[in-house]
Amino acid sequence: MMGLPNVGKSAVFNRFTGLDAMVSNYSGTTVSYAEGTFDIEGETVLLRDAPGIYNIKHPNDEAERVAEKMLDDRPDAVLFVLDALNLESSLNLLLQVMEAGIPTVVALNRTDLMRSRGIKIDHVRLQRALGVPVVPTVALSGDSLDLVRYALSRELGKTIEAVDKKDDAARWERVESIKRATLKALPESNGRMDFLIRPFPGIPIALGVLVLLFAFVIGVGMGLRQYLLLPLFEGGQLFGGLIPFTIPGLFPFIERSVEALTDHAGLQGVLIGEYGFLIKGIEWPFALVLPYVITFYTGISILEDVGYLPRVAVLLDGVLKKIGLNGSSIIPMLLGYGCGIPAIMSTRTLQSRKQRIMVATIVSLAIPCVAQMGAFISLLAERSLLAFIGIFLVSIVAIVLAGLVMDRYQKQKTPFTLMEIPPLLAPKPSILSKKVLFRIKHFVRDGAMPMVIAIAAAALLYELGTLEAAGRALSPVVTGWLNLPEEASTPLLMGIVRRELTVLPFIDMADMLSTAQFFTAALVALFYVPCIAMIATLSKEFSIRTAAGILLLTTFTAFLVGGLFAQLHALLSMTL
Amino acid sequence: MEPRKTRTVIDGTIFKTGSIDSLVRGEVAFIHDVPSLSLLASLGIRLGKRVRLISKSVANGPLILSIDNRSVALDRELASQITIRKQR
Repeated sequence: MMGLPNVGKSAVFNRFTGLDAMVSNYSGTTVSYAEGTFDIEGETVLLRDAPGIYNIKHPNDEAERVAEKMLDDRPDAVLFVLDALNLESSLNLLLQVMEAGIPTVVALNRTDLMRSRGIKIDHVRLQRALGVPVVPTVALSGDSLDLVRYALSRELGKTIEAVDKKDDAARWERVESIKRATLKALPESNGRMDFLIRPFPGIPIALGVLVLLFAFVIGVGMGLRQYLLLPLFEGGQLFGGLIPFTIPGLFPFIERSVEALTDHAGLQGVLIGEYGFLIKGIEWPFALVLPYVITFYTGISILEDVGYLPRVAVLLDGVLKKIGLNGSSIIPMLLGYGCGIPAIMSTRTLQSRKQRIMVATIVSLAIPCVAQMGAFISLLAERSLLAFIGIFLVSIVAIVLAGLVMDRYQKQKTPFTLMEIPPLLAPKPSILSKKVLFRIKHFVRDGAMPMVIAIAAAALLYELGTLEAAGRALSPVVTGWLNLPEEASTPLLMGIVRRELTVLPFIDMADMLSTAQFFTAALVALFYVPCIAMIATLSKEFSIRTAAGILLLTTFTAFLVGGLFAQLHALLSMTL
Repeated sequence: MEPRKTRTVIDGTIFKTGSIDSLVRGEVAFIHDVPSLSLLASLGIRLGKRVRLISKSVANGPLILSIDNRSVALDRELASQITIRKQR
């Protein structure tokens, strides 16, 4: 299956295979290809969802190479998803694909949007001009996909004569002539939403939207935690007493059960003690982090589906160029506030390796993931709002500095910006909720589960005294340089597994620490080691050397910045 | 007349031509000359195409053009290599 970027290939793919390829309203959601099977008249067919591309003749990026390779593998048929909103470029790619001499079925997609915009395409004429079946479809609602299936069944196994290859100019001429014959009406866009991509009021609106996004993530997240999850876990009244019914709570129940089952102090410790994984293993991932996962992915998914993010990218492109990035790096960086792994994967859409490494480094170093942000909120926001805002400012300064420094030391030029801005679309609730659910499930499976295991391991090591011994070994750095108590080395060790585990244990040390010490801990946590899964992703996407380099850089920065703050603070409080 | 604009004669017709970044917001023009770059062609920036300038981004950011109902962001450096004319 092939087509331009952002035309709904993944939606068609999901319809056919029942799988969940990620669907968004911007180019490059599918960066490698997805594979799935479905049935055509009793036969199982393997469907490969190629990344969206504009050309296969002049591969100049990863996606085009992936797509070209898929054609070279000689599939039995090509399902070409043709964008009704963008006939020209679609036809240009389609003609290139047809030159491969493989049976082709065309799905004329997004016909719903086509109609609502007053665009008219004569698909019968289009079919005649192209010489392959053309089926009008609306992929997101699954219309007429059965017709596509039927057309595919007739084309599969046909032999096609090789088509003579055309040069670019001749191909565009043919595109123009097909377009003239089939496109009956193309009304001028009214430009009503153009103000969103003008510097004024576009940039103030963009900043407002981003502030609103984070206010929503933090505010609604805190609300979810306070009024729904805490009462469920610790007991109390749901929704602040709105429902006059007191829930006994999960944790008191677990504690009573464990105490009833065993008097063994060690076993009790592992289960419900300091790092007791029946308590912390549930509280940390589900009460402290999950609320923000839910709100972040709800917010970002809405922005994605509306098609607003590329507009932010274009507005800020010039500014980001000054620090060696470009507008398109905004999307991976924003995704990084959710989770570093999809963020690093999505750097594949960036044009150069320089950009990719820069954005991946920034995401690993200075952008807290949603789990870590949830932890920061729990640690700082309730104690000192100023410290919480401070951490965010430090993070932004670090992004700019990291960009400037890396830009200086990388010889490669920042590639020029050339991108299509997708049409604004109203998000469809059914698609949106599926996507948010998918991402939450992903967090539970790949985020919360490793966290529970890490907490269980920590509980065991704590009871065995190993953590204490490790803490003593690290204590010159922790107590001497960072001015933190010896116990603080435990979160530093746990943080290697999951980023937020560098932060969460400090919450339980609340009585021992001053706000300055809290801030030191938060600084170290912000820059500290990205989690194990991120390091694995970095070495898979780039190289083990790059991953090791980023690991060293982040650890060094963490101790440097945290230590500098602690020492400066100590110096100042002595002189004052 | 703006300094970057010149006159070109094709088949006896005089065209005012200029670089695409000399357009002002809302102005309409036709592509007169464009470097051969497959992505430019695919985004609709081809000879004779009608373009409208939606905006110029700050800090020397990209031009945003409307071509055939699509919005395309175009780097300034690249834009300086594309010439337009005012009449079809």
